[in-house]
Amino acid sequence: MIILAMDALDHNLVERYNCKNLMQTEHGQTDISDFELPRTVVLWASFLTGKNMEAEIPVETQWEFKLAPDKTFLRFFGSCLAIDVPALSLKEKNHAEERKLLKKYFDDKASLEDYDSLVWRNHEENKKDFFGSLGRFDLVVAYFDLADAIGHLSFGLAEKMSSVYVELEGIAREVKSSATDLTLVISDHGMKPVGRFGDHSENGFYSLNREWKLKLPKMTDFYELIKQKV
Amino acid sequence: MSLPNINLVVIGHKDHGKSTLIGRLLYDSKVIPDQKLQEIRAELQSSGKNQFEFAYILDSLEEERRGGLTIDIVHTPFKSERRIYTIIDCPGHKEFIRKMLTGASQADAAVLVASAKEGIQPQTKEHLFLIKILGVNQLIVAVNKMDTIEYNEEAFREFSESLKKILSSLDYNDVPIVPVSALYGENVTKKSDRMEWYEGDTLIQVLDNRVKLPKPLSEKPLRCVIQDIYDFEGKKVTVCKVETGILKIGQPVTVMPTMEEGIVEKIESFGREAKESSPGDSVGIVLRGVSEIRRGYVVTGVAEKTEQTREFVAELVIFSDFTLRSGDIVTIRLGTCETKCKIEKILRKVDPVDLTVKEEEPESLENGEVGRIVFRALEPLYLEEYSDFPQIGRFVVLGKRGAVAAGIVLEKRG
Amino acid sequence: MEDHLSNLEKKSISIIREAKAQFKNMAVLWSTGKDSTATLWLCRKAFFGRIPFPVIHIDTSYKFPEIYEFRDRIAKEWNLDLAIAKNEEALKNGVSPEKGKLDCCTKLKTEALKSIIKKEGFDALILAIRRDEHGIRAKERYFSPRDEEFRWRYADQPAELWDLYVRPAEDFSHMRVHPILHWTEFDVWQYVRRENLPMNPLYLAKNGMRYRSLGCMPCTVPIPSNASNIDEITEELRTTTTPERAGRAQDKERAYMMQKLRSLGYM
Repeated sequence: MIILAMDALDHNLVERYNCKNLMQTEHGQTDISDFELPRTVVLWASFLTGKNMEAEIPVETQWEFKLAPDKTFLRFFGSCLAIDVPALSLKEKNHAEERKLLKKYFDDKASLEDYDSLVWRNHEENKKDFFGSLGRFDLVVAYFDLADAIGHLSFGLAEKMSSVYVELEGIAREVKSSATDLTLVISDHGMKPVGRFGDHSENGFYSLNREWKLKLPKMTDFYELIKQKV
Repeated sequence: MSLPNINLVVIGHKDHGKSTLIGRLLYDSKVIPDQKLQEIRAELQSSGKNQFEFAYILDSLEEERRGGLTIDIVHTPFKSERRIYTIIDCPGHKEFIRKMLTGASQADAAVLVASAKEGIQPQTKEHLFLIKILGVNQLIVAVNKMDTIEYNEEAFREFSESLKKILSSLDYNDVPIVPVSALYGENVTKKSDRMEWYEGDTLIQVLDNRVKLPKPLSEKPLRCVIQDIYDFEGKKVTVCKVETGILKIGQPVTVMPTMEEGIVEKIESFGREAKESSPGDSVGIVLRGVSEIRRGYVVTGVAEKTEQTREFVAELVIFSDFTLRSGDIVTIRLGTCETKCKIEKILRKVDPVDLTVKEEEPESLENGEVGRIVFRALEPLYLEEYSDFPQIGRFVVLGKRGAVAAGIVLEKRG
Repeated sequence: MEDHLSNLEKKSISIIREAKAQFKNMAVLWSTGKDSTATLWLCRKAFFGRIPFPVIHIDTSYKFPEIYEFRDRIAKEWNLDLAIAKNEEALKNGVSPEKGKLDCCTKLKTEALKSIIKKEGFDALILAIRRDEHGIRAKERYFSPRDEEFRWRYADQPAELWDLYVRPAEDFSHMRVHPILHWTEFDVWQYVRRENLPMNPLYLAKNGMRYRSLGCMPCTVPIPSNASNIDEITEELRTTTTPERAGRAQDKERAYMMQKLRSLGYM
């Protein structure tokens, strides 16, 4: 199984940019209304464990939070690889650097170019890790924060976002043409514009290359679904 | 039909209600869109203020303009029935000098806002002195905060008298003085019924009636700054920018600083031949009878006697890591002319914050300081005083990475 | 509008002539887009019908066929000294957007430009950048120096006073000249219309889609639109919510965003 965990991938934009490979066979939105704040780490931790983890992860320490793999759906697979997955195998240094530049941007000490370059660099790293692992594990979960990171500062700029979606669509296309695994594309939340910036929105996105006929699944539903189908 | 435009500079201490007066002028002349007013009201409410603050209008517009420009002047227009007034806002002393030096437009008139309660501050005198140097000869005084002294006639008359003394010492005579309350809108655009003893006009009426329209640039004497010489179809075409006056075919001209005389044979404007050219135009001209023409020269009319200059006095502000000493040789860029000058003498160092003289004949001038300097050009130069022709009366001093200081010419010494 | 455009034009031409007077080896960058085509036109006007220096086109080999067609046609019509900057080596090594967009843009655009600048020794480049394009563009100047490493030290730039554009003496590789910095997207379209400038057909709607900007084929996405002429394009510009709203609103959004990002644990 391959899980493409794409942070902030937004259902509206996937449709607007006609990303056929991201939409796969079945696609739709996810329900995250059970959560007070759509925090990245909380949503992914809940996705992995099937339990609402909001109360257990305080904001101050969220980036360091680590789950034991056997508490997640990873236990249902033989060999697993989790690339940069929040609450599991997050590349803390890369993300800390991104957050640092984000703050610097708002302090007028860093340019948008600097920030974007760093985000894309980290993205290329994850891509390399991911494509290098295809075919070698029973389960690969790869995390890409491109849409979220770029979107926070540039969601309102159509040209910026279209190139992000073109990129993510490219990854989905590559996966489709080189693997036959059960593939799940999933995001933790969508994005909505605040002027040129982007804020987390109410629904995430999911898609599958099989027909599971899901209807607005909750983020926490996937644990059971994976357990059953696999 | 478009209304004529007047550029106003508003000077005065911030505590004397300068921003409130500007806000009130904008508000009363209804130039602020409803949506903006609503936004401002909402902002004020969310920060716990119940009363509408006129000063906030200006702050709000200033922020909007700040955009990405590092040196900026806030241009805010308001209007009366007869004219559009563009306020060039000078918020503070230090910024005032830099902004004054780098400002895009020159002010046609100044409004001094003084507080009836607080009286005149020392900076006010320096402010007035500075705008006089910049060639602003039209002045109106608004005595604000009349509400804080209960619109008292005697207090106003007393204050006006002391004001008039100061004004005439600075060579400002016959200055209209208007009692107002910006906060309550008394006598600003509406005649006040709280000051029946005042028989004069409202501030806006005084602006309309007493401030004369500036002479249009085209009516000033001819000055064209030469940018380059092109060889076009075998002929030498001089490319220049008309700064003031009108350039006509057949017009006799004098090229400065060489003082050669010639005639304008042809004017070419973007692929078309033209009979004449006005301020702002960048044109190619063919001159007959001139043997030497170079970038940096200026074409002038023959009517007035233009002269070469060797020594001149300038007010200079240094804004980079650069030290200036007597005897130094610097390269200045004035118009399109780049030439070397010797620092003959540093007359005095002025404090950029309160404009008082910090030191007479200092040894040097450093980053962040303002001084009055005597320059001596190593080669004959042509320039004008800033108050007459700002485009050829202002210059920058060149350092390794670009401009390091900016100056305006106060006096030509021959 | 007429006067407004003419004033914009005068200032731009003045800047272009100023650059020519100060730099020995100039070139102008042309993408065949509306902004750089308008800039080429301004150069022609500045020098009485002919552009007396090279016109650089950065060819990544991934451009739309319409761009190549337009480029070659106009180059012939306007008698341009066309210089094509292409990173042949990178292309031979198979650099492509699929293998990494940042790498692709860097090698095929940035490095292609760098090498042509070094090879020909250009000391000034005219570019069609406008202030209203992106955030950081607002800090750009009419004359913007690039240091020896081709870096733009925007936090540290020398002051640009009045209209006195100055060339630095040291730590300098080339000057970027931006003659249409003060133009808006709307102004450019009005100028294209007034001067009857040739326009790449990609800008006009076909099958309900058109391109708002012309990049490389694999990385440029069209927008849904039915605008089939300049009037319709400018109307579309006026009515669609542009993300870059000026002033107060922008500051509010910024403050809101900072707060939101804090609450989500990002800052």
